[in-house]
Amino acid sequence: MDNLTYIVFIAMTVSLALILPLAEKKLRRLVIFMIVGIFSCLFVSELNNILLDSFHNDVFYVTTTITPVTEEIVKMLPILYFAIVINDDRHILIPNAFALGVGFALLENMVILIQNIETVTILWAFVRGFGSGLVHGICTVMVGWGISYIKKRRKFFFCGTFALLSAAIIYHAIYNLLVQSEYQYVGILLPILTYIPIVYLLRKKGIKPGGVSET
Amino acid sequence: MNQQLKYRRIIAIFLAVLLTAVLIIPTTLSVSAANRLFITELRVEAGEEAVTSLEAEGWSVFMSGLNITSDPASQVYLAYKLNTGSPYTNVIVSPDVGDSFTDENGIVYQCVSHVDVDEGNGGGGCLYATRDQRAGSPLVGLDVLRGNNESNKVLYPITNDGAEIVRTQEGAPADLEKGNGTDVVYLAQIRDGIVRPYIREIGVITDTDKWNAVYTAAERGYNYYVDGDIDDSSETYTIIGYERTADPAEAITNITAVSAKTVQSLEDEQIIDNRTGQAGHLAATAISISGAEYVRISSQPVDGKEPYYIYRTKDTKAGNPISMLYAEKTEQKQNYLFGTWANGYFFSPGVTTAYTYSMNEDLYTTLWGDQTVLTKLPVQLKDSVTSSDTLVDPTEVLTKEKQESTTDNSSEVKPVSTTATSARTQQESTTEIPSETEQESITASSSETEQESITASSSEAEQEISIEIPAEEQSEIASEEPSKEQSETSAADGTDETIRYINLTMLTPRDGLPETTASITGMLGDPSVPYVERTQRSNRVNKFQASVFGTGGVTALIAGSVVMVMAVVAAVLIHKKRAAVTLSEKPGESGKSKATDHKKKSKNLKNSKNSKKYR
Amino acid sequence: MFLYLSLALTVSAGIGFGYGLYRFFRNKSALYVQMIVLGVGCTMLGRLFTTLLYLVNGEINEGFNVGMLGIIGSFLFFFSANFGQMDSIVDDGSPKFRKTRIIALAAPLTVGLIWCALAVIFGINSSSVWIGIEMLFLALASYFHLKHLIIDDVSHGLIRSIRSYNLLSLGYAFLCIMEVLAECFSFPFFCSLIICVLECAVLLAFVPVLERGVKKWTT
Repeated sequence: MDNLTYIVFIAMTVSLALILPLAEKKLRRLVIFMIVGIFSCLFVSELNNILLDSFHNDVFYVTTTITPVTEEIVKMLPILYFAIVINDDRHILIPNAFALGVGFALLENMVILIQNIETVTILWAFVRGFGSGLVHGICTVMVGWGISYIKKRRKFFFCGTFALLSAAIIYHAIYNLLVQSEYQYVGILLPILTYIPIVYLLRKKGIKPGGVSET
Repeated sequence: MNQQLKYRRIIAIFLAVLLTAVLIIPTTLSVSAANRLFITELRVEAGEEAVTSLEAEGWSVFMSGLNITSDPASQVYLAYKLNTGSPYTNVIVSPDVGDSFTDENGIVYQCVSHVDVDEGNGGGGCLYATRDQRAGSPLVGLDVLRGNNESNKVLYPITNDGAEIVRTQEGAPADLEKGNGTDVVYLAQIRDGIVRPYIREIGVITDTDKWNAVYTAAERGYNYYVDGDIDDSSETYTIIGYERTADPAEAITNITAVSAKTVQSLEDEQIIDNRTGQAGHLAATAISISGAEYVRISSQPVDGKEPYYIYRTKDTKAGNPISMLYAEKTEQKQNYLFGTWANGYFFSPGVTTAYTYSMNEDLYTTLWGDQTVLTKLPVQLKDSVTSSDTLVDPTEVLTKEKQESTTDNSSEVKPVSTTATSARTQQESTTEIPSETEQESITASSSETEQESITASSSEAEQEISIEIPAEEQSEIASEEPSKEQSETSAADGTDETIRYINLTMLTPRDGLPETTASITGMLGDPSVPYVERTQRSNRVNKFQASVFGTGGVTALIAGSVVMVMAVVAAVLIHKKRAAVTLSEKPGESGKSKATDHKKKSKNLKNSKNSKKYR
Repeated sequence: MFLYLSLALTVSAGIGFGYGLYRFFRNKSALYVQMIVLGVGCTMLGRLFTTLLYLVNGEINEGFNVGMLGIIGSFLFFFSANFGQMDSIVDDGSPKFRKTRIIALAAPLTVGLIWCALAVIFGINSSSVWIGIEMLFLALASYFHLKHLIIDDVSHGLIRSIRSYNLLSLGYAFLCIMEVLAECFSFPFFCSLIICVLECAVLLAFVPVLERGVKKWTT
């Protein structure tokens, strides 16, 4: 079925949207960012499809060179918008950015699941769950951190965000490269090993999920 | 004094020798360099009388004009002269900008002729050429390539190895038939010093679309392809892609087809490893035929009446390096192009005739003098039905035709035997069976022909197994001889129907092709021998699939764009609202309202550190 | 062999980045220093990608590859740190620094000229365009490095103490250009080896040299 991706998208977002009227503000914001992340994934999937066609269906080249760029840029746009129009507080921005990344990974995993329904295993679920979720989350957090300077230090924002975006793209490309190679298990470990110090650092700085600042 | 004179003499002699060397060596070099012929003059003329007048003036004219037109008055002809000095190094197509222009690299191009190469359609431009050495190696040949729109995208990637498409000033391949919507005409230029006469590697590419297959061939690194479908499916198109080399040691020396059934039977045989004593099966990725190692080039068999695998070898025991390949679906087993080929007229996409001619002199001479052609792989197609009068031993047909053809062209050439049924072959096969290691022997007698033997051997375990198979099966190994049942059926029907074959023809530059045999005398037992089939990167196993790809719909893209536009509009509205709030804060307003506004603003931007402060 | 060179660069950058994380991210430090550490980290990521691509694919794509973003990102971090943080402190925009600003233009101009020469020799193609983009960011960063190297110190030794760092960064920019040239002109392998060794040394020295300079700010 061609529109299975859309069906999964609707099923997920509608369920999540049901939380919105009941949730308090911080949780609501997180859920909204997850929905935005899921939609970003749907958008980027079609974009990637066009790019794959233009690069003669060379999946390896496209996933290691092109899609990390498109995915990170598309994920960056909602955070950038939020920072410019609504709020650029780092303590709010970073957890929401992570939620967006996780939302993106959710749909990505679902789409890959339905495309490879006959070959997926429990191990696959763990690998995708940790790997993809963390990679998208970490990359979006990196970019979100740079964007948080948008109003405070313009000079930092323009260059710093682009630099962080570059770092996020490379990080994402490394993950994509590794999971498609014979070193795929190293690829799975990479985001886990990065997640632990990042969480430690953010906790130390007083940034917690839900946008509560301790400092 | 005498001593001094002696020294002077020595110095004089030394200087004389030095001077001689300085004078003679460059002269020798220039003489040897002068032997090469390059394109030194070019001319473009239009109209009916162009060819006659140009030839009268001593020009060589490309008889295929630069336009696809039936009107001789609007045809444009390209003519050239070959000489030893001051060669052209690059030709480009540009709109007529005068007698000359300088490109971005400072190279000056002179206008060959102000005649529009797309005369009548008005889209082509004029030819400009340069002799500047910075533009590349000297040109030794030119050729006109014609194609339809479909092949447009293919000509560019496939044509290289010294032959390159003439480009526009902007670097795009120049279509000389630009004004014509359906056809393309490219001009190819062949540079000196890039000659790769031999075929280095081949591969089989199957796709539902011919041009996709060609593109895939290019993507897999094959620079050329054989323009002929070698499978029997009406839904798929299978081509042979190949690349060239200048080194005969790297060249393929023989290609053969082995039926999938035979390969299966070889693979089914158990091989006992001497070291471990364990029995196992081996993949027939490499086999030995008459002592030469053949490697399989595809993991999947090609569709035929009996699916078949193609094996290739680079072993000199199997023959001389192959220069050209040609595949055709034909009703005849012999190659009807034989005479044409002997005269050096090849047509294979990417190999221009001029390139063929510009191959090194030895080879060129060989092509003229030695017409050693080998016709192989007459793989029978599914839909063919035999008639009683066509049931002739293919060896006889082939040999006879070849003898006839060679008599026409050259009396010195000896006929070539191509199939499995020669007596010598059997002797070879028989002698190769080692008696000591023989473990298993299954013998089946043939009703018509002699027995043949196949020995599957393990090079690793140094074991060989001799399997003798029935003649009917043996015949399928290489020649796919029409089956007896079929012939009987046809004979009973009394109908005269034709047999269709896929013929793969190879041309080798020198004589002395060994008498080939289709008897497989051993299977190499090393399972680590890989297929030489190239895998596209896109076909790699992608267990954990990175990135997500949609289904080709645009709904999400449209929705995303709409959301973006709405978000931008909302942002502008919010910005305006904020600007209005900021304006109301200006001096002159009551302190009370200021305080209220400030309170509002603080509420709005509760979590923001401070928007204005840092702006 | 280039795999090993790339691996050496990854390891060097990794050590530099790890040391920087340990020294400047555990406790509150100047954002300027943190940016430079992140720049070294970005280099590490870029080199790691290149190494892995060599390992998995056996070759590097012509034109754009994600590894290039490592160089671009690192120089953007350096540029961002200098332009966003330091420059406004050491240069108040007054005419007395005009001469310094003009002289500092020599660095980006040199980079620009090198790229132009490459474009003339090899023509404009995807490779030269991407090299150009890489060099653009390199030129931007090198302007401030040179400027901060030669500018009069009016901020109580603030810039003087990190001159050695700026010199090192300028050297790194030069080595990156040499790396590109070595690839374009197919220099002999020992040239690539020498460049790689020097780059490794610079990447290892970045953070310690900076740390020594920054210490002077507080003493």
